[in-house]
Amino acid sequence: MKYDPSVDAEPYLKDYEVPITEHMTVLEAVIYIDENLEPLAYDYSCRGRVCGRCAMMLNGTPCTACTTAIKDQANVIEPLKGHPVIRDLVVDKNETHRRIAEVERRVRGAVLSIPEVEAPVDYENVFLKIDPLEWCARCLSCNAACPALAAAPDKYIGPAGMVAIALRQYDPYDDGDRVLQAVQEGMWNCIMCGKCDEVCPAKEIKHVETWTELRALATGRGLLEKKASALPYGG
Amino acid sequence: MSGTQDENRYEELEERGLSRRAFLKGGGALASAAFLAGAGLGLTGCTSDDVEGSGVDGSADGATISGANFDIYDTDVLVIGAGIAAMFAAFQANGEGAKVMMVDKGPYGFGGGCGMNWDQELAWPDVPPTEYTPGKGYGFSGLVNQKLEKNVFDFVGTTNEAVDQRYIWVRLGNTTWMREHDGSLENLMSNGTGYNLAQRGFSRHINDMLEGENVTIVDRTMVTDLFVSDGVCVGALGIHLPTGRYRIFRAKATVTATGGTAQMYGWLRTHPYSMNTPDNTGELDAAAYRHGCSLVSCEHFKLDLISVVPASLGASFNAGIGADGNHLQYVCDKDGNFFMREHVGYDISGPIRDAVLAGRGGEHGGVFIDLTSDDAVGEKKLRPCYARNIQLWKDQFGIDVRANGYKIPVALEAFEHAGNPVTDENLMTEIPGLFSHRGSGVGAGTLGRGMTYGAYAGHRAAEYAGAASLDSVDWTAAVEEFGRLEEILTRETEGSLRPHEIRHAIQEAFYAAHEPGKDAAGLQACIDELERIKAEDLPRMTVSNKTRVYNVEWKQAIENYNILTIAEATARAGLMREETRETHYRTDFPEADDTNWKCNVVAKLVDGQMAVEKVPIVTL
Repeated sequence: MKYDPSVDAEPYLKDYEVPITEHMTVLEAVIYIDENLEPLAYDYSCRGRVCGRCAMMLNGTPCTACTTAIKDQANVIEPLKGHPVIRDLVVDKNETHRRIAEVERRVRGAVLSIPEVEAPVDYENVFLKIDPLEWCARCLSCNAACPALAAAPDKYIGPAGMVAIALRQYDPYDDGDRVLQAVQEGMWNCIMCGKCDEVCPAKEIKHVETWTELRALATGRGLLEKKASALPYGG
Repeated sequence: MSGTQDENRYEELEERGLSRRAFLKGGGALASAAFLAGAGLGLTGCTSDDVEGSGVDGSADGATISGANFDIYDTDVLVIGAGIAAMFAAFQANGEGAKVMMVDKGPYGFGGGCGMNWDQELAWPDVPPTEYTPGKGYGFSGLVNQKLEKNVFDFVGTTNEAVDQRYIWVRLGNTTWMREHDGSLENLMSNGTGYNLAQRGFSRHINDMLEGENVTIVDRTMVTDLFVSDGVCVGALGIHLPTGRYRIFRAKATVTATGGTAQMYGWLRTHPYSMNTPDNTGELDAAAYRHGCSLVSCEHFKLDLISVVPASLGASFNAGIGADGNHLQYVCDKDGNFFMREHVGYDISGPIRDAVLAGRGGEHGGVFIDLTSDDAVGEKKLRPCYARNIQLWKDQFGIDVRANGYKIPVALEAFEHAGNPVTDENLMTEIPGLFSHRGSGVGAGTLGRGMTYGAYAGHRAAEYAGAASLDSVDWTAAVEEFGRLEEILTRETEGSLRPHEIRHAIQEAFYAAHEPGKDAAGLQACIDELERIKAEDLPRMTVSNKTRVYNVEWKQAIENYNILTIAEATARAGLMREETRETHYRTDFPEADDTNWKCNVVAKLVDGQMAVEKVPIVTL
């Protein structure tokens, strides 16, 4: 999809013929178009699904272009859903990224000491829970696929934000009430459909399993209310 | 500033159409837009009294650009970059009371090498040192400025809290690092090697932590030049990429911490033979060079092995499978000999080049990794960041690296470049007011060095800013730079070349001379070709789309000048250094020659030409 807000009235689809190569990725196809057919605005960095910058929609499904194979067929490539489009395939994720950074920041009263860092942690219930979540690239593919977020963005932070909250829930050095925070950020608005698990390029992350655990903890504490809409009236 | 000076200053600027409201002190808010003389948005073509030829009329009464907008930012300490060294500089300067502004080319937290957030390994001295030993401090190289290395050592101190870098990362937001099954911290080295090594660090936690500090972060802004006035660095100049608006950053002290440039290292379908980021194209180093700084240690890279098939994922650390000095068990030659198992030391480039030059490599110009044996994968066998790609390759491409007989083609990739402006023992460059966190030596790019040197740069910059003042600034340089950038955007010419064509020409010429090894003839051919590209191709480079909104071509075109400068410095310094040392590998001078070459090599602009020379290592 092409869109230059300084000259175009609205986004439009344009057809390009791209010769298929062995093991071709979406990123490769985009680079081919830009170098051989017409300048295209796109962004990428790590080429390994850890920076998240190349996330875009392939045939309606969000993906990281760098690690997603593209088939020899008609394909539709569009900017990642859910963010303002700067140009063509470049979107502005700033608002979501600032929110995630905010909820992810450790809550702690006392300064950490070396003995605390060196102390053994529970391998099964702490390390093995945190480690997969560290792979989150904040590409926001999950958010782009999430029907609950699409239906009510004012009632749910979205899966990427929830992954950040879950990480701090398991973080042994965090003192924040992350279960309460999860509920406050709309955890109960998630419909447990598993789309996040499907589209996330970090296969280590088990979203639905994580949401199940958070729900159990919230239920145990009687924190059962869904987040209300932020609408002042008519909500 | 005195009242009269203020008035004179504002009058002069108002004559050029600048509004007083354009100036906003401190961090936080954006300055309001200011128009240069000649109102109106959008350049349709330059009139002769505005911009002529390839630049701007830089006459003493001030140059003008018709219709361009710019924003002005003002701060005490400007940190250019947002990676490890930049963040540590920002934390330090901010903590010492300076007002800090950080400017990042990419989206904050996701830009540059650090923004790859790649499962970082951290190395630091095993036994906390009680006193400084030259070459064994945080410089991590025998070629460093020892006075500087000692200053950093003294600054960091020897308390456990200062030396235990893994602890520092946890304090700044990281979680557990890698754990053994009993829950204790994993340490990949120690046991007499002299270093600890930890893995599963994620730098984005530190980005998140910095956002909570009182530091202003301006992102998606490419700095294209330093702002130098009367020989003093007073900030930086650049473009806000999403809008194409020009930005001027005014600061009492500037720290450049923008990583190493590896973008010249060939081209492999989506990227050069480098895990490094396409963001790092040498803007600040080339700018420092243009303003008279010497670039040191350009002939050195840091390299390791990474898969080159599938080529679409070629040279990708996080989607590839590779090996470095700590993980060599399964590296083999074309006949399946695991020839690296006895290797000692982090750098592997020498023996790999030896093997390839002896004909024991593959057609792809590298060696192989064989993971087909039962004990090749699993815990502690393969780094998690590689191991996770076994499934990725199966899912996306149907490649099974564990299938009988499969050997993964891998090649040397340059993940870090050492070249940077020379500094004194306080990390100040040859331009007063400009600090660079690197200095010299191959160790640049090591995380531990970035932390310690970065923080020291922030410390010195804060100190300098405390005593500096920015009373009168000559805006000519800013207007000239914006004129240069405008010209690149609007240029029309016969036989035009697109930026990527020139980019790939630079990469091809450079790679041919640097892999699998360097020699005089190859390096000279590379230099000749780079000179030809500079003289013949760059002037014909045009941008086919002229709008300003996130113009990737314009960005690439600007970057090309800088990549070429760094590539040229690298080739010339490589040609001068007639020996093999660390990662600098000369097939025509295969031994180290301490008598003649235990020194630094610098590249400097002399009478409009790049000149290289030897300079002694600064010792205590």
